[in-house]
Amino acid sequence: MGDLYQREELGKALLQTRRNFILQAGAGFAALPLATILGRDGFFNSQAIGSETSSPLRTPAPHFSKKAKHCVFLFMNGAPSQVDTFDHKPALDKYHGKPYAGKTKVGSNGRAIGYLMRSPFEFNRHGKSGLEISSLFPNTALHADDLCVLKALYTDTAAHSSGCLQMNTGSPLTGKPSLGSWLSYGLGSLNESLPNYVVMTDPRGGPIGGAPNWGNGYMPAKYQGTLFRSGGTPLLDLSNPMGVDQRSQRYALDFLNELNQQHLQGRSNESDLHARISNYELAYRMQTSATEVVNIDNESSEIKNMYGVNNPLTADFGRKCLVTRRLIEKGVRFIQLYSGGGHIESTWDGHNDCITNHKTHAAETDQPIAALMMDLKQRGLWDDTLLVWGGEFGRTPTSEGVNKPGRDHNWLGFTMWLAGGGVRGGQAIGETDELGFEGVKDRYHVSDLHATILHLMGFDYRHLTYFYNGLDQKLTGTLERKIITKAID
Amino acid sequence: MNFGTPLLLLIVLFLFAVPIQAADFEKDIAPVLIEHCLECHQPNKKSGGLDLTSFIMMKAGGDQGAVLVLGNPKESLMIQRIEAGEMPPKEGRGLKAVASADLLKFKEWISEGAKWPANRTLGIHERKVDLKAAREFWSFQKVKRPAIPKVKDASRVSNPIDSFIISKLEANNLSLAQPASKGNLLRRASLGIRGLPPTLEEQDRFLKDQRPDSYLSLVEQFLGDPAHGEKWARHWLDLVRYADSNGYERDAAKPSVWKYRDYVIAAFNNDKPYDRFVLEQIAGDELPEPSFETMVATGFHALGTWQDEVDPLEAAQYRADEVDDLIRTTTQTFLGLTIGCARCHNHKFDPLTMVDYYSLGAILSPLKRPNQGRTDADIPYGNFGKLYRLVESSTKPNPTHLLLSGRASNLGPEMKPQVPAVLAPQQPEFPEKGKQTSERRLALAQWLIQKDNPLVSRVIVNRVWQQHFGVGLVATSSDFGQMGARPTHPELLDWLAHWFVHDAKWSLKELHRLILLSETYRQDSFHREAAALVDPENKFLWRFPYKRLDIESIRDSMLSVSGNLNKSMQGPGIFLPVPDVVIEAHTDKQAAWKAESGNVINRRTIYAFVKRTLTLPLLETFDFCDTTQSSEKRSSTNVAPQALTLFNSQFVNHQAEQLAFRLLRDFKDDQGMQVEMVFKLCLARSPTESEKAAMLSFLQKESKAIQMDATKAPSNIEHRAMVQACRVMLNLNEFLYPN
Repeated sequence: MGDLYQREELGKALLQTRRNFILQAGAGFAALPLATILGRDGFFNSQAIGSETSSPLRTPAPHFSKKAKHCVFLFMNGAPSQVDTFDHKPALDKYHGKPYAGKTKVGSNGRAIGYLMRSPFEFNRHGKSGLEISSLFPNTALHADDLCVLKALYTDTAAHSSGCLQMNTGSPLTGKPSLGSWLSYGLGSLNESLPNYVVMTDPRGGPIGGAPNWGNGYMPAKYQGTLFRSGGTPLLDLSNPMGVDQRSQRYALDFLNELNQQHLQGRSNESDLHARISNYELAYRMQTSATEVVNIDNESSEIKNMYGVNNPLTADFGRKCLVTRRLIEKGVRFIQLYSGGGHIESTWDGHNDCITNHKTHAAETDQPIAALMMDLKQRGLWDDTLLVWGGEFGRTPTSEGVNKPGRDHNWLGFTMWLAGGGVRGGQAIGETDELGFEGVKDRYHVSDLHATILHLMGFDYRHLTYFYNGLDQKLTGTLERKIITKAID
Repeated sequence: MNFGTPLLLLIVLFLFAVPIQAADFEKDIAPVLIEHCLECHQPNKKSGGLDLTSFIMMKAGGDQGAVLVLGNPKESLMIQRIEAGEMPPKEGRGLKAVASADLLKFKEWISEGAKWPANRTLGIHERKVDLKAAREFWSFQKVKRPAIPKVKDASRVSNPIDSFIISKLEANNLSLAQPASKGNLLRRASLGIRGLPPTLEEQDRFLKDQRPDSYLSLVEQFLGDPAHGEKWARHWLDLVRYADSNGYERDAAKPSVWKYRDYVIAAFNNDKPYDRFVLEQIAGDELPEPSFETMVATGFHALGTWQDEVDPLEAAQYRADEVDDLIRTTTQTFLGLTIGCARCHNHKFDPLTMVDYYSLGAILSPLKRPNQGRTDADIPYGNFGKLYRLVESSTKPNPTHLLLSGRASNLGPEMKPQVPAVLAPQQPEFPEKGKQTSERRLALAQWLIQKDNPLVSRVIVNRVWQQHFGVGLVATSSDFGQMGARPTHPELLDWLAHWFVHDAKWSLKELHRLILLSETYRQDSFHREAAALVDPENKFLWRFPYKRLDIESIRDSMLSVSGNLNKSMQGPGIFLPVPDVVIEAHTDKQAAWKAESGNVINRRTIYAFVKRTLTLPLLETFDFCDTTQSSEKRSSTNVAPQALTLFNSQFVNHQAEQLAFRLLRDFKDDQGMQVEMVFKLCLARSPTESEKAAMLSFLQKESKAIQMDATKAPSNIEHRAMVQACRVMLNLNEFLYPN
């Protein structure tokens, strides 16, 4: 096989590799079964069900046998406060209103550290495990024994854009492939007529830092996240152009195919041309399949109510969670849902009034998330699906001023949770200090979290690599990382 | 066999050699630790919990406890592991075993109490590179002009390129393909030089031109067309990570950055010699006679992303990241080297060290962004206007330090400005201080453009070759190092590089001309089974490579054939219309993107505003480059969303409408002519009989169906049917893959 192209493209699932394979196998492209061609040139260009036999696409084989097949990242955009959600700090009651004079320097851009502020939310123990959860999440709390709460995470930055990028791509610098790209690259696709890596943003806007949050960085474009709407026309350019009905669309496609077939007569060995022809038929089928997957009309009213689709407060996130389940059923690998979009209070970024802010955003998402958990369990998808909940960092246990119940950014200690496939639930790992500023026990860096997610998805973070710029690049960078072993069942 | 003698020798050595010469830390101990141990036992890795970079850490030991027992080498775990052959590990790291003489010294040192000089910290940057051996690598050797090879069949030799290509083909029992047809060559050259298809008039003129030099004058015409600079500037912009905004939260526009883009376009159109082009971009502000133009060129350094919100605690590290961007972009773009790896660690495969990396840092780090707080700023230049660049404000900059393990918090020794040692048996002279600035970049640039720099000319001729043929003679056009590909035609590469500097005097247009006029370029692109069996990847160029147009050429071609193309040049980036779903997913929604309307949105794609947090879907779907770092080559993926975009998007369908309008207006009431012309416009050829029949029948069928579908009296049936035909034309394989 040509080292030339392998070196050049540097990745693995390559059209060129496929072409070489075909030529080496001595078969004309036309001799390959259509299903195989479609599988390879599908949305994310990887193995389709039933076509894995002698697939020349070398997506890196998973390193571990026990693994989740799908990952859902519930991104609480803007950074939720740990001390108001899962990290109970009774000491804050004691010191409430006192100026903070400690050495810990958190907060963003040199803003004053402010006054210690208790959480107004009641914490209770839930489930057999007795996991502590605040009153913001009454529904999620019903699944307490499934949650693995990570209480002492830390990151490298206190700015939203860098923080979102770090949580999504492992680096605070823009331009690296995102977690979803790595998983799409590693796992390949199960369904060629849907995108393999779906991103659903908040109606109030996208995350700070924009498209690089679901970018493919130095990987080919097929590994980038695809923006998806949870209703109507989910994908860009999915509907026919204005004024073109289905009949006309079909006629035009048939005519396109007719001319392309004529052109192919002198070019039957060009696999790219065959692939393009197939892509038009695939795109035509996607017009139906992608529209169907977001059409929840046939879901029972029980299900819709469970997700809160009919309640204006939960309708948007509920719909996204329900569509998430439908996408998982169709084989989609990585789905990222954003709660909160735009700036400050329209996200979890409660600088002015963290209390009202968190009440709102928790109320919008708690029921839908619990419904998704319930639904995955009842459909036997729980063990196949890894859930990740959290934001780009946490918030300070201080307020930003007297009588201003806002909390600033905290990158030294914050909380996220994992649940589902391969996760040992009903436990909290790690501790922050007495006030909730900084991790003191079982601290884990965002890249440790990534290494753990990769592990749960079947990959050794040290070996899921992509050669670029003279280096075997990794999601987790060049350093050694710690797998959060206690989190793994 | 008699074991007596060696054993005796060993005893003698042990008895005499050791006690006589005491171990010297710098001479005997540090090199052993640095070369054999530090790879893993350093603060960044700490394998087995062990760090051997300082005495305190060595004394502290690792996960298995103490590794050193003072005065007792035998009891010291590190000696035991080395003697057992367990350390350094045999697999993976390429570390050599500790030589027995070195081991003896080491044991002696421990016996004597392991004296470690105070405050001495070892670093992996101290690892030695064998420069003499390293310079033997092909790309680090001087370019010499090889003899032009003789070929058996000289009938197809139009210039030396052909001699090299044909000789290699002949050696593999292959041959060039037939010359491409005049029409195919016309479309190929037009798209290749200008990124635009030939107009109807150009087709007419060239196809009728029977003069022997008709093709030569065509090439001259295309190279003289300002569209040439617009096409080739885009390739350069990929390399220099050009974008119109900074990225991150505010993602604010870089004020006058577009002047740099216009500078590149003008440079290519005016055929600015490449050595001058390099000089102006790296050190346009340090030239003896700077001008507005050379100052704008220096904007090259300022094109990277910029995070305007950095916590004071992170500032030093972020600054190191910014300098890293400068170092990587400069070395990849001009030298084709991936030195970025040497930031934390000597390059694993190339003879590029941390010292090389941070010495380049000493050249580039005096550059600072002239921002005011979070506001990115232009700089005025006399009465000539504002421009966008980084500035140096001191003639003698603050010292630059090597950063141990790449962390700003971990300062190593001070670094002097130097170019990578492997490339310079003799370092260029860097001034102690300059007149306005340090003038270190000027020294770097002048060193780069010396005629005997082994990489600069090879790298640029290879980049031009890559754009014409899809793959460079070196397939990894920004990595001419160990991990990069080897040249398929080393002699041709060197001949071109030498010729480019000495004969063409760094003229890129001369290089284009030479390539375009070669028979190698002018051959057809059809598959030949027998040749494919020998050379499936077409490495030897037995046919012209068959490849997809880049997205700029696709979009610009559509605008051109629809008659909408607005050819005006220069000026700030244009905000093209963006679908709602993309706007909705942006943090700032409407505020982020005020789409323009009217004729400006029909300008060439190179003038589209490139916003780092919001990529135009058409560009993103079709493999637009990563704008955050130097991109040597676009991917060419082939996925279903591209079909959705080209078939359904508003942009393409609008062009189809305009094209249909144009046909019906210009060739009124003559459907045969309309069909003829739509093929000429889109594919630069007439339809075959069966294509013509297929289109006429489609138009008839579609018109009839529109009439039948209509609920009320249908209007514009003819136009609506033709729109559908044009939509199909713009989606054809042949439209995207020229012959």
